[in-house]
Amino acid sequence: MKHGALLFCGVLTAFSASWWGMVAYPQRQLSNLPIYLGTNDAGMAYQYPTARSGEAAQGRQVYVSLGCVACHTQQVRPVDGGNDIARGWGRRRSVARDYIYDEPVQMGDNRLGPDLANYGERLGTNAFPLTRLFNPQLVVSNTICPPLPFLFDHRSVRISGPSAEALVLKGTAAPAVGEEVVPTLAAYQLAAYLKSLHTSVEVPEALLPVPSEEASK
Amino acid sequence: MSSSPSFSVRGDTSELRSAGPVLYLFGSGLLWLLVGLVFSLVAAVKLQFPTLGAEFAFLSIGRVQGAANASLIYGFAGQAGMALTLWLLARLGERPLPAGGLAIIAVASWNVALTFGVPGILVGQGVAYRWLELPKEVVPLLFLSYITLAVIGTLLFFRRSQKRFSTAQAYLLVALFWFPWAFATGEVTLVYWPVRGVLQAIIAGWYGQAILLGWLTPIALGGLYSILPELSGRASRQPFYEAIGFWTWLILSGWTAGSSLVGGPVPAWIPTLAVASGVLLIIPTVHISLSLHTSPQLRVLLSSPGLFLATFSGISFTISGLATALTSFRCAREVLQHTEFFTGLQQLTFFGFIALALFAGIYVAVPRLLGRKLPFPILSFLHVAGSIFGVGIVVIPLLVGGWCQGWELNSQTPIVTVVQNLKPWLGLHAFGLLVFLGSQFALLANLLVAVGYFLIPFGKPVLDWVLAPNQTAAVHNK
Repeated sequence: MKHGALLFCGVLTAFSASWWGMVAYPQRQLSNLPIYLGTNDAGMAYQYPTARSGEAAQGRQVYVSLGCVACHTQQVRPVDGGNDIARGWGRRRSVARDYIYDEPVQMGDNRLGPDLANYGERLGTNAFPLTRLFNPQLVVSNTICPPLPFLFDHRSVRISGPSAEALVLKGTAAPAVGEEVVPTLAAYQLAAYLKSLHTSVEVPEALLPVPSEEASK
Repeated sequence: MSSSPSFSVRGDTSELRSAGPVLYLFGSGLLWLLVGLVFSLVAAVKLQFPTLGAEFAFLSIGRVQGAANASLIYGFAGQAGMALTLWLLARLGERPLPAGGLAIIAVASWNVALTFGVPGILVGQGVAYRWLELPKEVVPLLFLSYITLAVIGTLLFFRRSQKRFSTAQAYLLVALFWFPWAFATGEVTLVYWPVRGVLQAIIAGWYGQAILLGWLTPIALGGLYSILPELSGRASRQPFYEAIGFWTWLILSGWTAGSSLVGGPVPAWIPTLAVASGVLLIIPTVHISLSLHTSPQLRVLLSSPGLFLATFSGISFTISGLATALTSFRCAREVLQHTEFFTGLQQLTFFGFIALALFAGIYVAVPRLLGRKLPFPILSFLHVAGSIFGVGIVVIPLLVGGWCQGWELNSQTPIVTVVQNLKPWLGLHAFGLLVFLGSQFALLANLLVAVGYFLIPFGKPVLDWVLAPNQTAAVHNK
C-alpha cells in the first residue's frame, strides 16, 4: 500500500462512522427522555419512573459492587422476541424509560439466574426473605446462587436476649446454641433494592396487556 | 516486506535494538495471562460449588470475573499485543525503536496501574461494565502509558525505510489509534461523567466490540499477515482480497455493537443496524480468510510451533467470523440471547484467535530477539498442543451448552433445572481453562530458561551443561 495520508483519513472516517452512529447519535436521541406523566383508570395522576428510596438506592450499590449482574439480567424482552413474559418475568417489555434513574445500568447479558426486572412485583406484599441472601440453597434447592454470609453478623446471643431480627434457621443450618445470625445494614439495603424492582407501569411505548388477554394466555 | 522466507534465528539490527521493551511487554503480558486464567478458573469453579469460599466478599463471582477480564484484556492482550506491534513495526520498517528508555518506563507504569487496579476490583472498587472494570483511579496512568507507547509505535511507522507499507503495518497502525479513542470514550461517558439510562448499555456494547474487533483483532491480523507467509514460505498473492477485507472490516465491525441489544429496551434501529452489519461481516471474514490461509506443507507446519499456532489462529478467526454472521439473525438471537453461547463465541475470538496469534508472535519474535532458539522443543510442543486443545475444551462446551440453555429458557423449564442442565457444560469449560492454564507454564519455563541464559550470572555455562545432551543430539541429527 502507498498513500499513507489517504489511508489515515479513510481509517478515521470508517471508524468514526460507528462512533457517531453508536455513541453520539443515541446520546442525541435519548439523553432528554422525560419521565412519563399519566393518569390511571381511577383518574389518579402518576409519574413514571420514580427515583428509589434512600435505602433501596444504597442497596443498589451493594448489588452493583457484588457483581450480581454476572448472572442476573434486568430486562424483559417483547412477546415476539423470547419467552420472558410467558415465564412471568414481567407483564410488558422493558423500555428505555425504565432505566433513566439507573447509574450504572444493570441490564446484564447472561441468565444463569432469573431475570430480576420485576422481582419486587413477584414478591407482592411479602417481605424479602433474608435467608435467601444468607444461604440461597436453604430456600431453593439446587440453585447455584452463591451465599452471601458476609452480609450477616454471626454472633453470640446478647445478654438482653435473642435479637428479634435474627434469621430463623432450622436443621443443620441452625447456629449453635447461644449464637445467632443477624442481618447487617447492607443486607437490609440489598433486600430493599430487590423489593423495589418493578416495572409494570403503563407507558405509551409499552402498554400493559388488558386483564382478559392475560387471563386467556 | 521481504518476500523470501528467512529462518535465521538472530534478528536484524533494528529488532535487536528494540529488544528490551518488546521482551518486557511479552513477559509481563504472559504473567498477566496466568493471573487472568487463575481468576477465570476460580469463577468457573465457584459456579460448580457455590458455597466454596462464599464467606469472602472478594471472591464473589462478579468481582472475580471482572478481575479476570481486566487481567486478560489489559494485562495480557494489551501488553503482548503492544509487544507484537512494536516488534513488527521495527522489523518491517527496518528501524529501531526510538526512546527505548521511555518505553520501558511506560511499560512499568502500565503494570503498576494494573497491579493496583486488579485488587481494586476484588475489593469492590471496580466498574460494572465489561472490560471497563478497572477502578477509575488507575485509568489515567494506564491511558498515559498506552499513549506513550502508541506515539513511539507511530514514530516507528513514519520513520520506516521504504515508502510502501504492507497490510500488516496498516492493521497495526489502526490498532494503535483505535484503542485510545475507544478507551477514552468508554471511560468518559460511562465512568467519569456517566450518560443517562440505557445509553450506558448502548455505549458499553459499542466499547466491547471496539476492544475486541477494532483493537485486538487488527493486532492479531497484522501479526498473522506477516508471520504466516514468512514461516510457511508461501507469500500471499491476494492484494485485492487483503484490501477489500481491510476496508470492509473497518467499516462494518464497529456497527455490530448493538447485537447484544436485540430485543432490549433500546431504539429499534440500533439492533437492526447491528443485525445487518453482523450478517455483512461475512464479507471481510471471507476476504481476509482467503488472503490469510497459505496451505503450508505439512512438514513445515509440524516443524514450526509459531506456524502451527498462527494457522490455528487463522482458522479460529474464520470460524468465529462466520458464526458471528450466522447468529446475527433475529431468529437465532431469540434463542441465544442472554446465554453462554455468546460468551463462548467471545472466548473463541479471544483465546482461539487473538491469544494464539500472540503466542505465534512470541515463538517467532523471542528467539530472534535473544539470538537463540527456545531451549526445550518438548515444552514448545506441550504448550502448543495444550493451548489448542485447551481452546477447544474452553469454547465448545459454552457453545453447545449455551445453545441448549437458550432453547430451555424459551420453554417453561424452571430456571433452576435449566442451570442444572448447563452445569456439566460449565464444568467441562472449567477443565478447558485448567488445560489452557497448565500449558502456559510450559511456555513460561521455556522463556525463563532462554532469558535466564543472559540474565543470571553463570547462567550460560550452567545451562549449556544442562542442555548439552539436547544440543549434542540436535547436532547429531543434522
